[in-house]
Amino acid sequence: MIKKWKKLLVWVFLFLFSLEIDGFSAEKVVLAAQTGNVYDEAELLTEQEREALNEKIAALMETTGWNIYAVTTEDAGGKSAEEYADDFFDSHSTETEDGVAALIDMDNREIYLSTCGEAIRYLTDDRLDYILDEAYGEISEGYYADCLGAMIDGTAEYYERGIPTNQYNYDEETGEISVYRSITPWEAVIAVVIAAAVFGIVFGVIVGRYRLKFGNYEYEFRRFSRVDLKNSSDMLVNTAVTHRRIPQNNGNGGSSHSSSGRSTTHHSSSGRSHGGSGRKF
Amino acid sequence: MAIISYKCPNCDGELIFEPSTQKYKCEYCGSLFSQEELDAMKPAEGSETADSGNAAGETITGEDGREQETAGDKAEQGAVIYICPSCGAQIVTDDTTAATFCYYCHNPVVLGGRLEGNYLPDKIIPFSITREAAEKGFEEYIGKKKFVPGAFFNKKQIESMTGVYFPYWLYDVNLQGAMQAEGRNVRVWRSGDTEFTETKFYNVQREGEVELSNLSENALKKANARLAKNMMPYDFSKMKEFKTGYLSGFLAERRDIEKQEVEGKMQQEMRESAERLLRETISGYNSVSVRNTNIVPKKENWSYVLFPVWTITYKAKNGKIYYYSMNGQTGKVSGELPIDYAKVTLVSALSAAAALALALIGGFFL
Repeated sequence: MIKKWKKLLVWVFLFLFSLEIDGFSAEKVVLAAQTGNVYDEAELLTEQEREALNEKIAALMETTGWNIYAVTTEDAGGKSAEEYADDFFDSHSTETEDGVAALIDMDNREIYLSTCGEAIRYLTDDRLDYILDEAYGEISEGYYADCLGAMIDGTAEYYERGIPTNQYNYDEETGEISVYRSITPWEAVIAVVIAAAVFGIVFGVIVGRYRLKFGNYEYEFRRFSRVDLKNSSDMLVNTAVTHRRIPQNNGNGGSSHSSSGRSTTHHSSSGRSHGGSGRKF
Repeated sequence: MAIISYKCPNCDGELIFEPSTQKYKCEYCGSLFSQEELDAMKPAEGSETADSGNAAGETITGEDGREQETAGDKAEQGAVIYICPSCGAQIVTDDTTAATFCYYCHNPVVLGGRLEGNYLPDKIIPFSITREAAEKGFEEYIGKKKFVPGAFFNKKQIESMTGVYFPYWLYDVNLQGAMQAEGRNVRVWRSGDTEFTETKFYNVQREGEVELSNLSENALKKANARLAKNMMPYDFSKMKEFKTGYLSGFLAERRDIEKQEVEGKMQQEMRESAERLLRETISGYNSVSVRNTNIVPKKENWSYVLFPVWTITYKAKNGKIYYYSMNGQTGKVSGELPIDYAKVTLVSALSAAAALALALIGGFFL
């Protein structure tokens, strides 16, 4: 009986010890590859690079209020880069939908920038293209940190520029379109000016009428008159025709695509709506 | 016929014009008399003295227009005193007063002499709104005004309410008008990548007779010109031949603004109105520019008329006095109103807020 107890105790001890070891080693791995929101699971970055990148991310998170992650992975677990980035974002950013995840996926050999919530509005398809152009330039040279840095910098730059006025979300699965509506500062100023004018007019008209400044009697010439025309002629005396060529805006044909405000969205496994775009390298 | 007091042939009480029946009523025995019946009576006449103070001696009766003028001239320096035909008391008047009441016996007196010769009105519109109706109408008018302080109106604060015949100049004209203008019609169309603009120029001529009637102008200096103007329009078709009897029971003022003084202004108004009427006969163009207008009055008719006005003096609770006029025929009221600025500000702010919301929504969807 006592033997049995002893055996069990040993087993429990061993089990606890193994857990301890496991937990310790796991933590060790995370500590080695993670600095703040930089998750360097593929260990592509040096510690200094991680720190520099994290500072950049922290600064942008401060201004945007979003969650921003820079992720590298060696094993996407059978997921595509898009799925991996989306799921990474969804599993880490539970408190808010707004944010981006920049991913270097060594498994699929693809860089991916996943957007969610408000970030979808800022990073339209065209803007993502520009950002990925930059990032691709870096990764093709093997600069992993600069590649992630380019994605974060691009996000920061377009956040500064604001949401394009013609922005709309296009859900590629349902075809649903959600147009971005906003009040620009100019529109707000104009609205305030209109409101001030309305205040002035209403106030002025009431006070003016009460003080007999206007609304007074004017001779009703239509009511107290009779017109008897003896001679009424309308003679065409001249016709002038001018013509001009309508200027064609052929040059704008190509750029009309670039000014499109579309952000294409899809749904991640969690059901959240994500935007984003990637590029194979 | 210097000073007239209409007496009831039945009881010798005074007769006054009653707006509701348009007849003459004895306030004592209730008898009603038509205009014809009144014309057949011989009204009691009092006397007039043309000076202040030592009135008793020099009484002038049955004077003509010229003497009336001298009386008026003298009166420019002071009041003119009449003797009440009913009680013999002195009646002090302005030099424009044509009908009033004796201060002592409250007998309505008409200073017939003031309205003779040159000053005989051509037409009159008799009162058709009674004192009671005027009071009620005024109350309703104030009640309808949303921005008057809530406690402003109180019937008791109507200090005085007086029916007055005010003098006006009326101007009717028949004129020959001609207008030359250039009309333009523009048509724009496209053919391929060319845009064509065709402008057609028209020579437009209009010529004809324009008849304007009832241009009016205040003829009393002491009247508030704006209030006098705001009494317009009257129903001019109800104008009647002037009879002194209509004035009995009311105040009346005779004119002290002569035709020459208002002629220019009224003719200017006539020209502007005629031009606008002619301009309105031109239609069917994208744009019209008037090149030349010629207005030649052919037949002008000036008339001196008396129109009924209820004047209301109202003392507000804060002691400020407000003056109102009510058209004695149509009931239209005019006058400055006190303003509850809090209410006006609130309504303005609400409108502004609504406008702001609408503008922001507009901006949002733009």
